[in-house]
Amino acid sequence: MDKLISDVFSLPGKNIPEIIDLCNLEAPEPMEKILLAGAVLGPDDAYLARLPHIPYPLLPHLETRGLAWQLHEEKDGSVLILIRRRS
Amino acid sequence: MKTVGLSLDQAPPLSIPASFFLTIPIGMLMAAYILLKTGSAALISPWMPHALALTHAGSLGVLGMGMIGALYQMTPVVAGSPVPFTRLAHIAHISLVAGLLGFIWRLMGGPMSMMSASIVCFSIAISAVVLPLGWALIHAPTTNETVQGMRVAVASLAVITVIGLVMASGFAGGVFSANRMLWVQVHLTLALLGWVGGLIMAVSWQVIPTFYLTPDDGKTTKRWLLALLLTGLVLPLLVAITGVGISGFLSPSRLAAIAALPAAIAIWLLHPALTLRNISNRQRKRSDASLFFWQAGLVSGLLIIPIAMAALLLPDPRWQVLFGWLLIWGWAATIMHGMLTRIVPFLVWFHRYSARVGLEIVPSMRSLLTQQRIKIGFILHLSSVLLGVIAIYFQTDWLAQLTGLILVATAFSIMSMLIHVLRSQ
Repeated sequence: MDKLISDVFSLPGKNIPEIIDLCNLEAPEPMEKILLAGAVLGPDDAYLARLPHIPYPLLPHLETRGLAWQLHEEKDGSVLILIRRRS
Repeated sequence: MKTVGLSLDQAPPLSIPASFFLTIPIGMLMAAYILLKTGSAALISPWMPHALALTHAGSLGVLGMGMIGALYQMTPVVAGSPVPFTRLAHIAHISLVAGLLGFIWRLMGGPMSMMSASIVCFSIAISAVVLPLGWALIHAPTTNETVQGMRVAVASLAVITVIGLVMASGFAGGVFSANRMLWVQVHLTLALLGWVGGLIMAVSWQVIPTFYLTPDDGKTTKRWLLALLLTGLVLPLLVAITGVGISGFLSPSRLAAIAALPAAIAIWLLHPALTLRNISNRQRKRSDASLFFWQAGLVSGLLIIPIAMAALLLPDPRWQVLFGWLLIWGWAATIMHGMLTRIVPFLVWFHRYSARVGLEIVPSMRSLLTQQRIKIGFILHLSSVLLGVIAIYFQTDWLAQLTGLILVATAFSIMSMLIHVLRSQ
C-alpha cells in the first residue's frame, strides 16, 4: 500500500502519512475532520484520508485555505485525498 | 484507477434550492384547498378534473419543486459538474409556480385562457430546468450510477413535459387526436417511474449511505436496477409509437402498462426492499427521526405494485385513486419530506458554517434542526396519508376535508421547519 501511495502521490517513501479512514462518518463529519486537520497542517506535513466518494464541496474550501490536494479514485469508488500546505 | 483533476466551480447559491423548497408548502396548500373545496369529488375517479388538479398539485407543486431544487444542488456536488446559467433557475421557479396556478385554476373551473397561459409557463420553466441540468449531467466528470439515474430522471422530465403539454392543450380548446388513454399511460410511466422513481433511487444511492452509514447496494445491483428501469421506460414508449395492441384486454394502453413492469419492479419492489434492508443493517444505529420518513415511504412503495394490479384489473375506480394517493403522497412525498429534513440543514451548514470550520467554533449540522420538530412533521405527514386512504375508501366529504386540514397542518410544519433552518446564523 505504501508503494502504491508513494507512486500515486509522488511522495518519498519515508514521508507517507497514515491513512485516516473517514468512510465510517456521517456527512458532513468527514469534511469537518479534514478542515480541522488542514487548519493545523505544517509546511512539511501531509494529511491522507480515505473518503467514500469525491468530496466536491470540500475542494473550494481547501483552495481558499492555501491547501494543495490530490485525489486518487479506487476501483470501489472510494477516494484517497492527500492534503499539503501550498509552498 | 486514476488520479482525477477537477473543476472547482462552486455549488449554486443557497437561494436557488431554497426557493424551490420554500414553494413545496404552497403545492401542499393547493392540494388541501382542492380537498376542502370539493370534498370526496376529488377522490371518486382519477379522470375527473378535480382529481387531475389534486394529482398535479402533488406531482408538480410538491414533488416537482423538491426534486428540481435538489437537482440544482446535487448535480455539482455529486456529479462534479456546475450547472450553467444557474440564474435561469429563478425564471424556471417563477414560471413553474405561475404555470401550476393557472393549471389548477383551469381544472377547478377557471377559463380556458388559464390553461393556455400555464402551457406557456410550463414550457419556459421546464426548458430552463432541463437544458442547463441536462448539459451539466452529460458533461459530468463523474459518471457513477447516481449520475446515470439523474440523467434518466431529467430525460424523463423532458419527455413527460412534451406529452403533458400536448395533452393539456385539450383543456385550452385544442384537440388531442392520438389515443389519449395510451399516452396518459406513457405519461404516467415516465413521470412516476422515470422522473420520480429514477431520481429517488439515484439520490438514495448517494444520500442513504452518506447520511445514515448504511451498506451500499454495490455497482452490479445498481446497474441491474438501472437496466430494469430503462427497459420499463422504453417499452411503453415503443408500444405508444408503434401502436401495437389489440382490442379487448390487451388494448394498447393496458399493454403499455404491462410493458412498464420491469421499471415498476425496480422502483417499487427491489429498490424499497434493498434500501430497507440496508437501513436495518446500518453501522451506527443512532436514533434519527428523518429515517422514519424513509422507512414509511419505502414500505408505501412496496404496496404500490399490488395496488397497481388491482387498479388495472378491478372495475372499482377507488383502486386507481388509491394508487395515485399512495404513490404521490405516501411513497414519493414522504421520502422527499424526510430528505428535506437532512438536506436543508446540510445546505445551511455548508453555505454558512463550513468555511469557518477549524478557524472558530461552529454549530453542528444536527443542532440546526431538532429531532422533535422532525417527529412532528412525520406524525402530521403520516396522519394525512392514512386519513386520505380512509377517505378514498369511504368517499365521504368530511373525511376528505379532514385530510385537507391535516395537509394544511403538514404544509405549515414544513414551512416552519424550512424557515427555522434557513434563518440559522
